[in-house]
Amino acid sequence: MSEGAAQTEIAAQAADWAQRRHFWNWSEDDQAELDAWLAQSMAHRVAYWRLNATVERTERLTALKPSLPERSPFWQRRGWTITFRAVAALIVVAAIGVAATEYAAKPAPQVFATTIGGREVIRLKDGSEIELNTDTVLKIASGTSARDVTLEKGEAYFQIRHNADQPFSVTVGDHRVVDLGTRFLIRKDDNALEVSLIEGRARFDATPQSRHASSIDMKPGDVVIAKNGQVRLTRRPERAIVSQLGWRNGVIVFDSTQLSAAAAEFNRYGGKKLVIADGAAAKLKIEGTFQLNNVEAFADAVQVAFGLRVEMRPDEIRITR
Amino acid sequence: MAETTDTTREDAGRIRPGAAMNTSELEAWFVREVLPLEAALMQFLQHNWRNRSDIADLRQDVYERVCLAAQEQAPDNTKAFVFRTARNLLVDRIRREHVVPIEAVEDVDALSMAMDEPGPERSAIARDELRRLQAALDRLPPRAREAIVLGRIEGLQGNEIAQRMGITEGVVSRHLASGIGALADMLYGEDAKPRRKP
Repeated sequence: MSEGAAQTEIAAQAADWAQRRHFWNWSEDDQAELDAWLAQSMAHRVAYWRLNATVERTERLTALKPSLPERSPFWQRRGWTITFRAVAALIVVAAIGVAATEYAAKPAPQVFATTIGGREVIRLKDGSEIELNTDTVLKIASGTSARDVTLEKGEAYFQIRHNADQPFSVTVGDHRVVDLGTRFLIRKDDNALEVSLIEGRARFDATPQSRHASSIDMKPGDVVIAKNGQVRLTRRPERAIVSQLGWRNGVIVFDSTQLSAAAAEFNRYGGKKLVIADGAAAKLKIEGTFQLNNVEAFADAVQVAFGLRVEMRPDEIRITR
Repeated sequence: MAETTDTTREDAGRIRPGAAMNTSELEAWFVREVLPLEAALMQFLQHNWRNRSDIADLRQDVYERVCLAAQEQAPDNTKAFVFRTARNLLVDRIRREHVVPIEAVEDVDALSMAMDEPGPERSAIARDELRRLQAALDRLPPRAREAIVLGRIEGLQGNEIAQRMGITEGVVSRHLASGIGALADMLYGEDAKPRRKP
């Protein structure tokens, strides 16, 4: 019989084996090493079996993976980020040839745009990073500083290196967010702007040109919502804010979200349009983590969880009762 | 194993009580019949053992004893056997450590009878499985969850997870290991209470 301390140590070793086995390249030598460790005692075996069974249970989560063969997203491919700025500049020139003359007089800002379902990471010289979600347009002022950006539409996650001499500022419509060393998320829909501060400090205020006077010093967990000319400050638990960032991992996280809102969220990313064609069904609440580009898997889960009818049409998925 | 070659198809994978088990049969039996009892076992241990920090170790001691015995001879009633083993283990500990009177340990037979069978309603359980997995995943610490999601849903390898999260491979390993441990505790050690939505 093992002593308590020994069991704790064995549990840690078993967890390490389980993660090595399932998340890393696994060779025959590794297997031989694991077999030898397992052969040492029943305590090793039961600890490993339990954790191994756990990981195997999570294999069901891969049901959420898209069925089409996947290309790894470009930002995960080696070498891309180095050439990103140059390539992006070329794309911009090609894409907005008409606008080029307009910018000719002053140094042209760099424009970064994602398509519906797209995602991009921009790495700035100062080490800051901006991650763009689906259907987003962001402009970065040219020049060496490049600490002034404009979010035209969409959603972006900012991880900004603080520089006291040169604050980083994001302009969105009439509003402006000035960072004081932070991580934050900005989402601009047609009629609302939402700024969530995850870490550090930032100031939310109006652009010099606008007539708004609101200025708010934001703390982590603060969420500022600007809608219909009104600015409101609220707070969200860290868990909820982390869930909002699921898209960075290619997932959407729902936490007691109504089906209608869930469908709207999926529809941001393109793919087949999800239509909830039943008033009562639209109010059902769902929770869980879903692959954002696999609306079919979501529809399946909804069908199973609520017993709703799912009708696959060429251009849309209709959910009825 | 020779003893099971003549079993019918419905019995395939079932272990005949009294027979010895080889290692892979023992693992399959342990995962299929013992692990689903974990929530009840944890309840039993928590009820009968004051020191919370010992519980996880006691559980592993129970598993170890159960499997050592079962590889020689498969018990005919797994649940009764697991709880009897747990009770005996606690009694041994109490004797050795002179902490609590022996009467503190509840009547195992009464207790295990009162608890629900994990039951053959596997399909009903399967329906809630995905939701349960997701709920468990959502309760992990954010970094551990991110690492596991990247590995399981996006299918990234450890080194790619490290790149994606901007952390070292060693740190990824630690997040994954702690995440797996926490998931095991949630998926096996807690009562499955499928929360029905309206």
